[in-house]
Amino acid sequence: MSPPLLHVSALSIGFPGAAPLVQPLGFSLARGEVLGLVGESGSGKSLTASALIGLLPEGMAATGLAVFEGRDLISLPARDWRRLRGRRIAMVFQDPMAALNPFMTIDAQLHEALRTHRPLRGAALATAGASLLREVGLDPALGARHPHTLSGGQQQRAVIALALSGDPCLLLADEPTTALDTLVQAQILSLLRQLTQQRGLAMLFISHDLAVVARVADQVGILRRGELLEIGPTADMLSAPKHAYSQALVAACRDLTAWEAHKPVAAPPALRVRGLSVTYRAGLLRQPRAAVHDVALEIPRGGVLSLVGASGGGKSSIARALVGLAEAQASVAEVDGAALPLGIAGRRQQVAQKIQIVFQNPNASLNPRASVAQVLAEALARHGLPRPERDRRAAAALEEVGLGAEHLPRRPHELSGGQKQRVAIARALLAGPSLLICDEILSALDATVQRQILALLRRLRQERGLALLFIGHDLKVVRSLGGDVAVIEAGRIVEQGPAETVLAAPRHAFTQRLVAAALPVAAAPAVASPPTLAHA
Amino acid sequence: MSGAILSRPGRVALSPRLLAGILLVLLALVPAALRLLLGGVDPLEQDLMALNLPPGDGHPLGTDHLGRDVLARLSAGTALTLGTGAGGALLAAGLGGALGLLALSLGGVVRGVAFAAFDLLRVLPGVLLALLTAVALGQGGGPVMLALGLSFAPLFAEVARATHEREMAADYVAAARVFGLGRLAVLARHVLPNLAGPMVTLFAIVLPRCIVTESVLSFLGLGVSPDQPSWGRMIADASGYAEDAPHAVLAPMLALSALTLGLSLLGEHARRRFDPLARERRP
Repeated sequence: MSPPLLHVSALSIGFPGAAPLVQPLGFSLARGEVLGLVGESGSGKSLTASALIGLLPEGMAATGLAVFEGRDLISLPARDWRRLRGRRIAMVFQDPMAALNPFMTIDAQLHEALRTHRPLRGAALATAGASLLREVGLDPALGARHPHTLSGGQQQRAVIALALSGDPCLLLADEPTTALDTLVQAQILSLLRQLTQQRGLAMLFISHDLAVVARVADQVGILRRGELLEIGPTADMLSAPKHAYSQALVAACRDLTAWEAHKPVAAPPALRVRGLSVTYRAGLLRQPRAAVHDVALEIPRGGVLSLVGASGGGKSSIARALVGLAEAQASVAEVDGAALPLGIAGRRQQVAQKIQIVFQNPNASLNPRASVAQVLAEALARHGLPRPERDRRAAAALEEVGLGAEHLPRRPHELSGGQKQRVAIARALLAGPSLLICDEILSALDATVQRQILALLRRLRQERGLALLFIGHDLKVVRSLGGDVAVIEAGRIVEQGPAETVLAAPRHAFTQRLVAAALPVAAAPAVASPPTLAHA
Repeated sequence: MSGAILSRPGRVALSPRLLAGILLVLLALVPAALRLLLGGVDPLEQDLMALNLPPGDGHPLGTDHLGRDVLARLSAGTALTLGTGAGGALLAAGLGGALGLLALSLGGVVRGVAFAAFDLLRVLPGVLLALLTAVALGQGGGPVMLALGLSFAPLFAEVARATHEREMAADYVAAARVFGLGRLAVLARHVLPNLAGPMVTLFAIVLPRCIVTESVLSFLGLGVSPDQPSWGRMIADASGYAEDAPHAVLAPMLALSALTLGLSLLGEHARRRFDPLARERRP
């Protein structure tokens, strides 16, 4: 093993005079090695990266030691930082669109970056740019394009090329794949892994997702509330985590409780649609754009159907169409055997209320000004109930999702992410649905909270006979739900069947790619060996 | 960020700016208050033996070129100046806010036409509007208020539109519509509460501008009728004699400056209190 490139000891970050936000932590990182830092939001993982590139938020200060190539980064004056940042230490951010200048072509940005680091001109500059693009797996011809014409994965590759332009030896990657869908995520992860091997880069990889980190990191550190709980080789961390929280995190990633198989009931299905199409009209003169073509879905009472596919594939369009938020046509649309009116006007009918939806981001789906009681009252507004009855039902719904009546007067910002999502579920339940659409409802939540919400859904399904249309990209979760799965590609269902069968033996090429890109958290020591990732 | 933002509702932290604003507004209102309490001489009474007298015995702020008491005119003009300005600002808020929201909720062609009309109003100079209303309705407080209302209404309509669009795109509005709530219910539950803050703020910003505009219109002779002492009128009348009787110009000018500066400071305070960034932080 080579001597460490970066040695951090007793690094502590915070506002001077206040309790530290990151408590003293230490680790070392050698060339060609990847250290993954995992933690929930607010655990201090991004602050750690910011301190290592000298970009802490205004007013914050770091203490301790971070020795990089013989120099202490913590006490480095601003002047020296300018020679280090971008050249020896580079960073890749979460949102590629925010990291690229929308008004400049990729080539222009790349050439500008190259010129600041090396005295290159003309043809030599163009060659250097093209070879960087090739190195990150981009066709050099794409360099002439502006960022918005590239896909999310291509944008992130361009950002990585920019980060490499100064030929750094330490790369800080802060949630670089979080904004990407599963397929693209797998490609970017394999690219990063490949670059660390080829260039002998050391990489600090930050993510809230242990499964992602386990895929690239040689060492994993687990952070919680600013404290580095434990750190060690990835394989050890996955097979024998010591701290109780790490154990919960590993468990949350791996063995999800499988749901009970659905018992067939002699009742009309909760949802039956045939020939569902969703079109968006962009303007009077523009051609309407079809997002979903001729989709057929059927969910038995109390059953589960998972919709999976890449982002932009039409999953959410189907969900929005079923609750009247998107314009749609269907040859058959039935809920509990009764005709389901499509379109927003149809939501006034009681039958349409049997389908309810919970959205991805609980921060956006609850009005920040409204109290929980007011949020819940909205589901009952159409009934015109007297206030005591409304309050009674609201409290009962809260109890059903595992919250107490003491939450009624609170406002959303006083609740945690998981509690907010519970309130959103309670609100949907108040309308008495027989089908609940869960549109990526776990994506904005931390791993341990995801598990709790899944347990809640499972209980609701058992107790209420609630059918679920689950939209998600996490195949691990889909597998645990059982039931059926429908794979959507470009607005069409390409494969449909029992989840177990489809995911175990995918027939369609797109499903095969999805399954290959999924990140199994294996305790096998395969992580330390050279990458063997799917190049989809 | 000032302390005021972080203060709890109901407990207004008295920042120096807020204090200065309150004091300036009070100062501008002192003549009117004195007149209310103690009574005063007739602002229209002319004393041709006492033209352009400097401040002194009997006339605390002197007399103007027609021998009228400046203090009396200043105090009598307060209500007219403030009232016309406030009326114009209220009318602007009503026209812009209510019509804007109505057009937004009706949508389609109505919305397009209404906002085209607001854009048209916005490009017309306020003076031209005042001229038009004066020609159509004659001189007086009403036409001036209408002119002010029309020229400032587009600002309120734009704020209503921005809030409406932001709210309608929110997931919680989607959730409300999924529950079968109609446009009006969504408007009342989600748009209006979030619109109140920006509207109050904009009103506080527009009010001093309306007062100044009213004075400009009076100065140009487009305002209220000449026999009514508005501050702008006073400045216009006395400006011809500024060398002989500077006090007759300075008094209404200083009063106008104090009032508008004070109101602007209060408006700035309102803006900070309703700042969407600050709102999140208040329990």
